[in-house]
Amino acid sequence: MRHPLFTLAMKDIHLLLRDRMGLFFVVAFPILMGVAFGLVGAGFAGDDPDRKEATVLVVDADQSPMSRLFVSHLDEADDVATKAAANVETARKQVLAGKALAVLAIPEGFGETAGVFWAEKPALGLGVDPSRKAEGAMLQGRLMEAAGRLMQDRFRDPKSLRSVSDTARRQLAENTEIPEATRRALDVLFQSLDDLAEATPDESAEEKSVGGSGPSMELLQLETIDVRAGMEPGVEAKLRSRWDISFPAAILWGILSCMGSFAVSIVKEKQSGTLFRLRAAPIRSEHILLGKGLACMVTALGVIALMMGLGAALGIQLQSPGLLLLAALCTAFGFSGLMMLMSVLGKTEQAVAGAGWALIVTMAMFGGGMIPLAFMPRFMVEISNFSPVKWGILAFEGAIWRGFHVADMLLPCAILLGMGLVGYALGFTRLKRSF
Amino acid sequence: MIQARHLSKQFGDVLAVDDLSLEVQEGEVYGLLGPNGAGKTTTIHMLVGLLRPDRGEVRLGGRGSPELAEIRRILGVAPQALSLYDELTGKENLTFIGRLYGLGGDTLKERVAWALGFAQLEEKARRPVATYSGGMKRRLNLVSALLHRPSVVFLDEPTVGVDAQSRNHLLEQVRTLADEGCAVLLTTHAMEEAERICDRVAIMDHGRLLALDTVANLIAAHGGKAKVTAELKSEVPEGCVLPGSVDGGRLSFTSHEPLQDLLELSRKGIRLGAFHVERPDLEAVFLALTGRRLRD
Repeated sequence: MRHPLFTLAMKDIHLLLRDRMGLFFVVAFPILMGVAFGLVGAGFAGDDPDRKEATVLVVDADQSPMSRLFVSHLDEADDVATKAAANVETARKQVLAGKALAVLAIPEGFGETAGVFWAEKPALGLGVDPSRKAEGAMLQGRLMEAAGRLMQDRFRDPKSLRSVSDTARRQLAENTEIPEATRRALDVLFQSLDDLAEATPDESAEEKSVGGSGPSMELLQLETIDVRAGMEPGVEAKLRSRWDISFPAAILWGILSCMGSFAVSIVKEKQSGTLFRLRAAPIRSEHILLGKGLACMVTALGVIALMMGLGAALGIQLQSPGLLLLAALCTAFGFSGLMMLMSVLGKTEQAVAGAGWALIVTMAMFGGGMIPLAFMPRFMVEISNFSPVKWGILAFEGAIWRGFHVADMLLPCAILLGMGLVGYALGFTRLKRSF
Repeated sequence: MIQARHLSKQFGDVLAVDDLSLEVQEGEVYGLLGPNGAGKTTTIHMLVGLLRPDRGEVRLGGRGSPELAEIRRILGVAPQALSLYDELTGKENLTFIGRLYGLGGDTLKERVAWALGFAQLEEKARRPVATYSGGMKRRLNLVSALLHRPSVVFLDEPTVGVDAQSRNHLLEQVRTLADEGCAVLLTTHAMEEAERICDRVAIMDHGRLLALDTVANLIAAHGGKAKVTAELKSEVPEGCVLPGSVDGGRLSFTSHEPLQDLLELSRKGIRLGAFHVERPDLEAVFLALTGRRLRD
């Protein structure tokens, strides 16, 4: 004998399969979303002036006046905000968690040659969030600009210029392998620098100009920091397809559609009279409600499996099947709970459908389901914390490409599970009262 | 099989059911008649356990309250509003409902096949219910309540919107159920249906049972006199007193014993032509008891 829960859940899934429009929104719509966003993914990083500042976590191991000046120049850019970080490892994890665009590591000795175009410089480490490649390119431009301004600073500051020539003279004297002719030529050059320093007024006390472009020549050596270093062995540490970004959002759309469909089905049962037969049957009212929740969860899991199957065919290489399962279960549970809550938003099918879709669109809009969070203004990013869609997407991204560990999954999963529990509790209470 | 004692239910200021008691025996079809708002639906909801009475108690099958799942297992309910899933086929609807009542395997298949046959829907079994006619849906709604062989059946207006042929078939099915031992409680607006299949009829209004008896007894007690119209073929003998008035050669009168009165007139030498006797029915009983017609 089949448990009533399964009987009820199977019936609801059966009904969904017969509803072509409902099926379109649950299955076809998210696929279209995933593919469409994936195809336009390369153009995600436009030059939108309202785009939020890209936070760059700076690990300054040099702590010299020049390194601080460099960070300050970088921070002056309109679209970049710097933030000090204790070490590269912590910063790398924050970038992976989507809390910053990049980590910038300034090595010791940076200040000695910074802004001196002929000197060999230690390389700066730069690790960019793989999902924000276009912004990463913008950041590289800003770094060059800041380095260019360092050179201007050098030439405006006679002390610094003299210090550079003194250091160079000292290194020249210590190096016995340099031919005499080269040594004489370099002496002339250093003398010219001294003359330039003598002729340059000390502007250090004057107000420094802000903005302006640096020279076009490359003044900086950059070394890539792999933000996904230290992940499970054998896992490739980079985004492998454009679908990595678009499919998690598309999966959430599928789940949102599921939620909308099943929320409406509860009030539909009431209106059509079938709820009467269910309530007169030898089952508990909890079974009726849990059956809906189970059907919603199973359908959501089916959508996730379908999307991931399609994603795999397109090139998504899943990093952690275990974490994907965790993300899928937590998301399906969370949103099925929300479905329960949504089903009590109105007394008629039309009222629940209207209120439900308004809620879905709002959650998707602020949660990164329509526009990736990376391209939202800061206030919207703050608001996104209140959208379950954000946490769902983050959980899937964590399993698919962010290289999350179980500990990293705790926050999004806890939020999704908590939301599910609250949704079930409130929905149950209201629905049972309305029976 | 169905016992309700002193049931009362109030919604705000409205007393929907007021101290109602009833008892339906095994093999009996019990008709509950009343206009809209009389309290029939509230009564049924309390009898099937969907509504808890403010006072009184319900016992089904001599075992206990219908709020208990094991008691609801012996219960079959066909609500007035069709409670079917339009997107599913007739067979799928029945299979789902059978599973809810714990049927499975061969038993389920056998009972679904029986139900489809009983409802004469074998040929349409694999078509979505949305494509069924009103009569077909009503028959499916009825057999859905009978699938699990209930011993207590509640039928709320089972023939509403059904064509004459389907109605006859449905009424025969209900009678058959009772003959097989089911206790059937039926609500209806159609007096002729109640007269045809109900063993006893209760008249309900304003939440109270006004009368309960067999149809014949109710009519005898509350139906009043029969209306008689007869054509006069001869002159009325002098000194003969007629029981009613004459208008255009037609005699009209009312009587508890119309045929005896007509014979008496004949014995008095009055030649009668065509005559018509209109006996009282449940409608008249209802009118007499409530002061209004059933469909008011």
